[in-house]
Amino acid sequence: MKYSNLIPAALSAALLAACGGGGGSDAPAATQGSVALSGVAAKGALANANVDVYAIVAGAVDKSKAFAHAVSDANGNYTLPKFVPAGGAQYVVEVSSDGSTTTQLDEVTGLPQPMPAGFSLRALLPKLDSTSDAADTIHVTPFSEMAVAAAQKGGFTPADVAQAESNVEQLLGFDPRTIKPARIADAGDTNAKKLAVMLTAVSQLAKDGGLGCASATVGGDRAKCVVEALAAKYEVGSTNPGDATAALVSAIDTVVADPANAGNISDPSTLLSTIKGNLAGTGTPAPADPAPAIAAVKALFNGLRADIISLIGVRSGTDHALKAQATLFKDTLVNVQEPVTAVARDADALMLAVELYTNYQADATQPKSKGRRIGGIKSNVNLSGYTQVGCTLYQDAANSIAATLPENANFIGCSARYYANVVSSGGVITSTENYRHGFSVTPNVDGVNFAYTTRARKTVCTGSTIQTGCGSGTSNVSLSPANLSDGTQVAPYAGNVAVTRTNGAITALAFTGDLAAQFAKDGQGALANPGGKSTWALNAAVATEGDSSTYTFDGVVTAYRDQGTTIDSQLTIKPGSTVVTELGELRTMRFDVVAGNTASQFEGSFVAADSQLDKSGTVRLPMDLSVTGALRNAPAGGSFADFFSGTVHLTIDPAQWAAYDASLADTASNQLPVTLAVSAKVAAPGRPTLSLTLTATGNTFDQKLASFEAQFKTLTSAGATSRVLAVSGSETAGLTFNEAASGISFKLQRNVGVVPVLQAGLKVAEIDSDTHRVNFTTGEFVSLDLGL
Amino acid sequence: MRRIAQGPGLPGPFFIPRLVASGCAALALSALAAPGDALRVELTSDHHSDPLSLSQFGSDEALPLAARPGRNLVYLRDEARSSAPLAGGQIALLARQSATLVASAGTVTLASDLDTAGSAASSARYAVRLRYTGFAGWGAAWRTGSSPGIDLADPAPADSWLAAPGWHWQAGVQALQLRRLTWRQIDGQVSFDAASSAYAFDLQSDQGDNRLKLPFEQPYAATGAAVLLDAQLMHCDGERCLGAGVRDLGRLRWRGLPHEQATLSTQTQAVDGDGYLIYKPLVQGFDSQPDASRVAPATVNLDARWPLAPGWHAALRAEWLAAYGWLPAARVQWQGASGPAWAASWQVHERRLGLQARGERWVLGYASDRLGAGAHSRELRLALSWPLE
Repeated sequence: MKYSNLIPAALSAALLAACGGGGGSDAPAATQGSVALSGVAAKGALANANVDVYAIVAGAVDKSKAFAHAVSDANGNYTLPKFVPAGGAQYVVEVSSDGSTTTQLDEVTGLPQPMPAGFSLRALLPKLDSTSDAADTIHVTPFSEMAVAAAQKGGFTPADVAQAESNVEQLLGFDPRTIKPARIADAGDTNAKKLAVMLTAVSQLAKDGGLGCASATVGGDRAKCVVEALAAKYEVGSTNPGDATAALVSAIDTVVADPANAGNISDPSTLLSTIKGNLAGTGTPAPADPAPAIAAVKALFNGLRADIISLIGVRSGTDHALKAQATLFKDTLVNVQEPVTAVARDADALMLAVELYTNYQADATQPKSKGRRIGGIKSNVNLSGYTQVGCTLYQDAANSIAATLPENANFIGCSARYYANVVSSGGVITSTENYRHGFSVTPNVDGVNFAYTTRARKTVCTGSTIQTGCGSGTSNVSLSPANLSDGTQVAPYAGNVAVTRTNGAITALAFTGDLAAQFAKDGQGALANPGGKSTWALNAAVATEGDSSTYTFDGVVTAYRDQGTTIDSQLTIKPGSTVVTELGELRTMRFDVVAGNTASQFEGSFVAADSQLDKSGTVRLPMDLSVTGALRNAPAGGSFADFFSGTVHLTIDPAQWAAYDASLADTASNQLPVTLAVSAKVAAPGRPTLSLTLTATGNTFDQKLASFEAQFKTLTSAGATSRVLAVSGSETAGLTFNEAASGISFKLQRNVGVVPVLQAGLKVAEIDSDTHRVNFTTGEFVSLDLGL
Repeated sequence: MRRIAQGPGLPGPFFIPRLVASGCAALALSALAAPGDALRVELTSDHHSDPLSLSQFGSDEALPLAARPGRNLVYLRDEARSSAPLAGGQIALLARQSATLVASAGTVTLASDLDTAGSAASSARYAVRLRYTGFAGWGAAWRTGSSPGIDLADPAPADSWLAAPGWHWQAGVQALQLRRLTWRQIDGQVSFDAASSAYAFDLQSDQGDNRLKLPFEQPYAATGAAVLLDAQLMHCDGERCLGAGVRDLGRLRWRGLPHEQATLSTQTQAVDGDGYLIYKPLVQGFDSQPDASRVAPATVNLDARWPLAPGWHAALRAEWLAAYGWLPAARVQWQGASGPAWAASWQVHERRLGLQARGERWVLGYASDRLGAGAHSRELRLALSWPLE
């Protein structure tokens, strides 16, 4: 299009307006423009055809007023008188048969062919207004008519007009309005040759009675029928003419293979290769103006990349926002004391003390010494046969004289063992170094309270066999509290266990006081905080009804790095935390906890519910497992901020579980579907909050993703949603991605190397999984590196 | 690196038929020759590689690249030419391929580190600069002048060179139909941090190649074209001569040639319009299919020749290669009263010794930096001529 003429016209108008020229009024005078059009009208060359210019009004061609009129000459040339475009912005030029003298020079037969009344071809004009002053050449052919017909279906919206024009250009590789139609023998350059072949193919379709036009007996009627069929099948959603595509390709092949054209098509295999390639494709068009769509795709992938890298953080050499938070969380908590193990073992030792004493007082035949929890003591050798906790009844407070009767069973000595180092020489064991929390428990006369003192000790037992407990004459060093430098022993830590009995049975325990410093997890007897201690205020209770027992827990356990001011870690079990068992097997569980320290914290709930037996009746699992809560960090001196919050839910269909035999190997007929559901918000510094909901179903046999549904919402700081990416599909069918805000979609499948990226059905780019690139239709490309 | 170093490809199936056609055409042309003229057939193969032995080209294994300090040079020049005198000049048909790669030491070291070990042993910085141009094709050449066969290495009779007292000249043009055109430029910086075991890249790449496959590719010309000029000018005072010349001066053209520009940067962190942290793609670029026109990799030579003793001559040549610099060479030759002329040459950068024998109707030359598969540089030259009746 010769738009360049519009620029000086617009400049002239502006200058005239600025200088007050062109009229005597003070107001700027509007400059009336005029447009001159000429061109060639061709199906074959249309002689004696009416050529008119009409405006598009209210989404339709307004034929009530022709802005210009002419009649084409014997070769299809037309020249319209200048006209003032005063009917709107969009115009078409229409070439129509007068029903008597209008003929086309048929490309196949080479003969003039009368065209029936009602036959017409149109072409869209560039946008004009009343000041447009242009001379332009517009050629009118069945291909320009296809663009008009496609735009007309949507009411000639500006977007549809642009897309329809672009679609035809995408199909042919050129704008047919700019190429002068000619017969193959007369066509000049490559594009003119292509257009000539395409026009001849339309004639070939008419000759063959294609596209349902066989019933027309007159050549002109068939040509009219074919042109109208092509136009009717052309839409803005495709570059191809619908189900007429195959017939058009066949006609092209016939034309190219025609010996009559052989001398006029120098390289038939390549001349039409692009057009035929387009016709063989899906027809998915690129947007008429790709820039906004490309910007949207780039923004989407930049956002996805940032989200994924922030979430997973596998790109090396950079500090990723969420990963940094997760690392901070981990680093904060990984090197602190984990209070649960030590507290549980210490509590177990004290409960054993209470049970041992109570049972012996009730029945003198009961044992005076007892251990439990076999195995689990860390050691440099296998200690799988030794107990984690053990207690003995004593007569004296020094725990040196064993009790002989209930009456002299006044004290209880207990150990909670954490590590044993077995020392050998020449293959013979010479001693065993035991690292333990030692307890000396004094039952109160009220039968309710059991006061205890405790130390962390290193006790060395000599002898050729492994000993986790031994008598006098051995080294028994207090590690916590440590002795003074002069060897003076410091008073031990102290606390109390309060027991509630119902009908003689223990139904509640309350632990209070201090505990010695804990042994480090992998410290081989070293203390996690040698100068520290722990405190606890824990309550546990059980209520039994029939076969069912309900345990409740609450309280706080705190590990200090010192004697009570610097918290190393803290676990708070909130009231309402319960475990329900039936005949000793877990039925439901709920723990509401706060765990962490002053820098990092988890607050949430662990829930297991609906425990059921499998088909074999031997394996019981909860059908519903979930973790709900938040991970949070606090900068030094600052307050906590969540970086992850939500729920992870693992569910099993009870009916599927009942039909599944967990005691057998998984097979195609014995497999268990498992559903994982995640609903979470992720917030990383510098990144918008990401809201994630995800449901995935797989099974235990082939471990394939049977179904996957997810939605990722990106939330702005104001809480608005800026991006909504929905993902759905399965491992075999592939995953479809749809982004709601931009309308971008694509589908990833195994073994599909090139994936189109669409926006509103228009192809914007391709994802090439071989090169890991996103290739845009404009030639731009970016790497796909999503940090995966 | 391996793909780059493979050059525009070996002659391939088109090469030999073109050579035969070239010979037949020259024979036909010889019908127009004057008595005393000769039909001449020349085969030249000149390969050199600084960082890699020639036998390792095309290997799929990790290549033991060894960088020279400064710029590293790889070139491949193969040519088959048959010529005959015509109308005061030499008309020739020829098939040739040429590839020249110049890479900084940092480029070669980086390629070696990435290709063989996967990462450098310690932290390192690499200054990357690579220039590569290759083309192959066939066509016709015309050469004329006061001494159409001028070559300082050739003991041609001095009186055949004379145009004016002491001055000699020669000029030629060749028109080639290109079957292959490829170039690539890479510039930038790369660093490796041993502590994090991570590379940091900041590279720009520009490449054109008729074998490059682009997404959304449009049909493009099956062949390209080149018009290349060469010229020599020499002044002699008796047997002492000084000269200068240029070769392959011209442009290589290809309509719609696939072209790709790309940047690779690991500095991907940025802030978007809303102030949020984003990560830009590591690689960004643009594909296009312009009508490519590239300057051919021309060479300029300076020559000096003087007598040493009766029958003995010495010659010095410095050849300037675009993107690289000067390539010096020295030569001593001996011509007895009868029998063939003998010459020995030493090419300084290539570190190769050459021997050449020239008879009345033949020339045979061989040069190499070493014998066997470890050679980095090798030249073969064979020329035969037949007198035309």
